[in-house]
Amino acid sequence: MPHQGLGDFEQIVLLAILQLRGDVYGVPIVDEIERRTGRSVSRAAVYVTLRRLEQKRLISSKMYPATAGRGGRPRRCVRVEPRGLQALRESRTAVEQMWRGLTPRLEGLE
Amino acid sequence: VNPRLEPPRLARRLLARSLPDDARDDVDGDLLEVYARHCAHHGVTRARLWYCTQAVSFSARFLAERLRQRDVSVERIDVNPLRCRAMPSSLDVRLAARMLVKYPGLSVVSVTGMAVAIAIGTVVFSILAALLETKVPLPDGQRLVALSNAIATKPGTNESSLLDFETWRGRLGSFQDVAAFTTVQRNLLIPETPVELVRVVRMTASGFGIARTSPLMGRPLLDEDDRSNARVLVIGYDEWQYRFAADPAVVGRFVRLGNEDYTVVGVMPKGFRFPVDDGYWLPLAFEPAERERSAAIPVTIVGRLAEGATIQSAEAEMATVGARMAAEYPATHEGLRPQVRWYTRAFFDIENPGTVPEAQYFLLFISLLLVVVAVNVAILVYARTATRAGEIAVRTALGATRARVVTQLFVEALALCVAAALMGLAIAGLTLHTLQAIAERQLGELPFWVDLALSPAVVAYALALAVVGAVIVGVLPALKATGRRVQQRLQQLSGHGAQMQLGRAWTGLIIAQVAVAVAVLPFALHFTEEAVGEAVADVGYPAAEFLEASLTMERLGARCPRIGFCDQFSGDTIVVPDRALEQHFRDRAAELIRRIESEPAVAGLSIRIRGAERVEIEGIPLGGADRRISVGTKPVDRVGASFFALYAMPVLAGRSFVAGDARSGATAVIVNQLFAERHLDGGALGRRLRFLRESKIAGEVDAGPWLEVVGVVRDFEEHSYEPSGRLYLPTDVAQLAPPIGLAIRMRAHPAATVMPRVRELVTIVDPRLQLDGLNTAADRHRQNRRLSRYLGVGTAIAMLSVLLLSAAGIYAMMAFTVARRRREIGIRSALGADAQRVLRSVFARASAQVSAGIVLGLLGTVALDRLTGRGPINDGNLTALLLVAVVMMTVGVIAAIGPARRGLAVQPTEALRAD
Repeated sequence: MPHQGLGDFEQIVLLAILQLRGDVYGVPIVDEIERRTGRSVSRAAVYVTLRRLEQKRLISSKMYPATAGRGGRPRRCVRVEPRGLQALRESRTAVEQMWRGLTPRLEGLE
Repeated sequence: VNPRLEPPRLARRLLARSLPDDARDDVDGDLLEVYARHCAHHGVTRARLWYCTQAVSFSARFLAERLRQRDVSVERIDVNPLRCRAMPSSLDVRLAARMLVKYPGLSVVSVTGMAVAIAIGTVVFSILAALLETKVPLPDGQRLVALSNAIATKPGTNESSLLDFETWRGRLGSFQDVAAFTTVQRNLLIPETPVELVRVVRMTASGFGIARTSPLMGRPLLDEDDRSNARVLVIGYDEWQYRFAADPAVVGRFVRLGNEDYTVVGVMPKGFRFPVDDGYWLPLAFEPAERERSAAIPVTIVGRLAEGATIQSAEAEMATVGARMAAEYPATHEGLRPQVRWYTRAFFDIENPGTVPEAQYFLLFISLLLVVVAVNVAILVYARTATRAGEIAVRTALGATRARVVTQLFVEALALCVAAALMGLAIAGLTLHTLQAIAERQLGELPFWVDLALSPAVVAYALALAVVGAVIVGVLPALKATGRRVQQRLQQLSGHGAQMQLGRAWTGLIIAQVAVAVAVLPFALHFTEEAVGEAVADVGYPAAEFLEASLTMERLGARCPRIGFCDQFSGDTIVVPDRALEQHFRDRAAELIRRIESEPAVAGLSIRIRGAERVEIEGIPLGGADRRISVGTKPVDRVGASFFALYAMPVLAGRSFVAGDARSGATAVIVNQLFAERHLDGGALGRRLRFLRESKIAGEVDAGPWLEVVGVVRDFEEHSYEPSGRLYLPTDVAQLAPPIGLAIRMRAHPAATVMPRVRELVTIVDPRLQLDGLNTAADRHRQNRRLSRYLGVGTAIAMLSVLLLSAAGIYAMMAFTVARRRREIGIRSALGADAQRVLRSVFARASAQVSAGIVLGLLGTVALDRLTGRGPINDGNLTALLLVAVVMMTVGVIAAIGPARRGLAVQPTEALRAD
């Protein structure tokens, strides 16, 4: 089965997890994306994407017991798997290939 | 935890249902964490709002994700998705939704047309369901029946007296219990609150047993109350809340009704309005010894069928008792047939066994309206399906079964019809709400079991209509499109569906559709014009300055205060005229009028009693089949001498009324301008006329004395759609029997502020005097206008949907013609034919069909006009006819322009490339 490329939003979510380092969960991921991109994102979209990334085995998750302020609910922490890192690298390479040689021309157009 | 600080429960439930099991807990925890943050920063209200939006967003996203994954798995299992089973999948639903968006014109037209049809069907269904309902919303309420005597000599009329109640109650085994009631009106006087005229039901104590409802506080009426004629009163929940300010110590309080004191002994629970829509219950006192008297007291009798008894068995038992009664009381009971009807149906006087099937046929007929519209939409959809013939052929070739293709087209149609049903339900809900409000206002009340709302049965009916619509709209075109010739079509795939035909049936349908639209629209337009005219009409006098009311007195009001059980008189009706009481009423009424007139806020007062009489004019021979019609029945107002001055109505000729005109033997009559112009064109003054009344001798008429026209006044308060000649007769309070209509003109004060004072004066003069329907004239006009406006808007919507469907039919036909003749147009263009000629050939068929439809439709209008005798031609409104013809032609041209332009844009090379 050929490798499926990463979508834009999937890349952003993966990068946010990496930026936060270690075991992170949904709430800080959303905050991180909003802080870095400067725009609000749909929280539901982030969770659906996390689920999809896990199904593609690009990330893995682990449940941590409940803490105060969460109504006794556990926390699902995720970390990026080697496959995820590989996919990110490929995406970056593809994008860089596409950008190659364009920068001077774009600057000239401005 | 403070529950107010928690997220909305409904939103949490939605989340719990829509999230996958393995994600529920952690997502919920994350959202609670952020929710707590929102509460701290933005407050609880905004946080709750945020949580709701998140719940909806998460539900939608996860649902979409689930559907996507299922589709992916279907694709993996079955290499060819077109070959999967005939059962509809989420793919079909998504495709259907996409088709709705892809063809917005078709969607809007189809959904609107069907929504109007479904709304009409649903409204009729709700009303019929309310009328034919047999169950009363009370415990075990399906066993409540009304008992009465049908009068053999007067078919369709029923009566029952207190004597019947006493006889039946003891002797019938078919009923668990029997109760009697009658309704009266009384002034309710509570200290420090304005006096109010209320409806009071006098009911035997057994009525509470039949209703099987215990009071909220205190006790219900008891048998002892009936026997001792106790001055006790039970009140309803709403009355307790609003009239008694929810006083917890209301039981034991004294209340004055008219000029009698009563003690409140109980409060009934919320929603209890038995027997009709009641909130005040008094005992129905009777004296078993007074047989003759009780035979003359009319009451409504209600019973609860015993276990195992049916209406038929109860009627059979009553027949034997009835025979004994007839022998015992031949004067009152000979020729009476005891009858048992469902309580609810008896209220609306639905007794004829044929009524129920008739109502069902009517409903079926109304539902057929949807079939007509759906067939119309089916034609449009067929035209669209025709353009997809290639796609269908390819799918069939790839192995899709016919059932599979039909299923998909059915789901597409279902999406259209469900959208229409939802829109139709919204329209119906709004209409029913308005109808209920109008009915309550116009009729004064509705029985407690009538609730014109979108019940589950109504919603089910609308959805059933949607499915029927989808079968017609989706399955019929699909079966035709997937017929035997698919193979042939596959071979000619290059023609892009051009091979599907729209034959003679199609042409006929277009013509018929245009004809029906043209035939019906002038009527609708005419009606809308009248309704709008009515809604903006000037009443011709300062209505805001006028108060109107009807004055009567306890035990003298002969008017039936109920809309149902109407063959029963009011419990106040005196059977033997009580001359002394009538004289007392006149004295008190004169005193009240004097007192009102002397109020500083009142500019003047006049009596006005509306009526109608059959009029004969001297010198104009009686016409009609029975030679007894002169100018027909005309409104006749009996008014006081000051009436015209009070309304500032100029006397155009002759004189106004003077004091002596009202004395007996005087013969003055005044007519309005319209009457003078229509019937007295040779000069009105001095002409004589008289009133004709049905004689007691069958086939004869009694003629009143000749009256002389002494004046002509300006028309006012006329209906714009039914202007009528009107006559005015002088009258005086000394001559009148109740009820007396009063018109009170205010000085600068707003009329509404004077109302409490007028009510107070009534109780000062005599608490038994009753002022019914006290309101400003402006308010009455406003309500009438609102009704006209609703009618106008309703007709306009129906009219618009007819026009839309016609336009869509023409459009579809043109689009289809262009698609089919694509190659021909291409070849002709290639051979050098000029654009206009090509355009003309495309237009020719459309214009021929539209013209034929218009001609047929106009003939239809003329025929309908002749048939009904009341239409645009009859009323001289030929513009409506012309307008409709022009609009229809314009609509036809506009609908044809788009496809025609597409036809002109056909490139010869492109059109011929197919070969």
